[in-house]
Amino acid sequence: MKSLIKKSKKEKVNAKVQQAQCCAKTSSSPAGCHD
Amino acid sequence: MQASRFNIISRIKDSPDYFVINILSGNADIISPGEARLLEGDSALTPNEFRQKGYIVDPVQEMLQYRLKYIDFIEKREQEEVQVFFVPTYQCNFSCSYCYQSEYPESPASLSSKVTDAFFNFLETRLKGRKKYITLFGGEPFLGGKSYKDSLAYFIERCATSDIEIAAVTNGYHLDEYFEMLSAARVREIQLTLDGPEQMHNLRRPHKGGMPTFKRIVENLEKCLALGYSVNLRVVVDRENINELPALARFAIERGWTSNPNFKTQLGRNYELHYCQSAKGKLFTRLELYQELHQLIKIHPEILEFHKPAFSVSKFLAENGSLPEPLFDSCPACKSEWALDFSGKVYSCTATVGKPGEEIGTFFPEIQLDDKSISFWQERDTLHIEKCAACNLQLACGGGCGSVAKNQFGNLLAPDCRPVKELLELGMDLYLNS
Repeated sequence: MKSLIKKSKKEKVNAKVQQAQCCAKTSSSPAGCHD
Repeated sequence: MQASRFNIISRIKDSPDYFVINILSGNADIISPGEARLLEGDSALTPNEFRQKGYIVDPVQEMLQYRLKYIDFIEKREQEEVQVFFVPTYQCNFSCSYCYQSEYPESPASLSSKVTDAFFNFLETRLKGRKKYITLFGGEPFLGGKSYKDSLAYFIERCATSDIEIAAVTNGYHLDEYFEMLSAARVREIQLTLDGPEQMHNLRRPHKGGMPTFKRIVENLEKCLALGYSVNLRVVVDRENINELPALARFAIERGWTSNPNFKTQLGRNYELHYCQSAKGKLFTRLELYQELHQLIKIHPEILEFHKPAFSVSKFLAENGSLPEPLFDSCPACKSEWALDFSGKVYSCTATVGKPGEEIGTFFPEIQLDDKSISFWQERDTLHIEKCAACNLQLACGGGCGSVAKNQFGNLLAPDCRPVKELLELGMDLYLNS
């Protein structure tokens, strides 16, 4: 079992960041979230 | 104690090893096939570490944590910056092979100053107190022609005097003619599109008059970078041009774009939204696109210098050493996104803007909003989509796109599922399996 979480780097990230990662939504993306 | 309902367990592509990811507990591990079997089998036999990491849980405690995280998500979203799209015209000077707006109604040749004033009035009333920025969208927001330019100049002047940041989604053809106008405003980002190297791009994104467009867009992109603007280069991908991605990546690297901190990229899957003209055979499903990308990157790793695909939360995990917060909703419509157009209509987002029947109100000649429709959009999240409730992927998927779900199932509260597990299998191989 090998952890992929690096505790020292763990940062609080907000939901917006999560959204950007999951949906490729950027500040001007026209199709970020619908794709 | 039992296995968490949010465990995502699968085998890493081309590896004997497995991964377990739990977004609610914030843990992720590479595990052996034996450990994977244990985790999917009798929870009494699992090592204590599985309990500590939230892979084996007390379901009552887990539900409590789930609810607390949901409240946290909703609170943060209400503080989020709002992106307000504005469509000054649906006209476009390009004739892209896959345009989803091709059957939208005709637009007038210029934007009325009364509409511009009403738009800013909407921001000051309906979105009062919210942090916000404006994104110009189209059609093509940067068209040639003096009368149109003059009308947009007033809009940009209002952005500047209101001190609201502006972004633009443009094909880039006439962009240089707008630099002077934009210099008065705070510009957050300019999004341009290239669909491959010169020949492929020109085939897919010709000017309406049939002229090639690649050279002019490249020139304008480089002018943007020279002026210090942030450039977001979008590539719309399908089976026709995917194999040209390595060549486009090398072109961008050779031109020095990828070493510029103001340059970023996105890949947009060509897909059927409303009226896409593209032949269906050209389109990738979400998973097919990422499977192709995975293969291409293995052969042409330089693609990663140009664009690093997310593969669900894989990239985030690799780059941050942590998982993102649970995503209870991936649809920003009427929450952190609104879309308004030159005709005075209000829509939920860029997927619906301009589509007849999707209006949720007006801001001109007066503000009149359909609060019932808006409530439907606003309540859409994984807690309100019945099919999401039983899904272990919900906190990575967020329920997908409301507009796509509505088009597909006739119901906003239907899921638009993302192939999270399969994407993780690919992404874990590319970014974390060393």
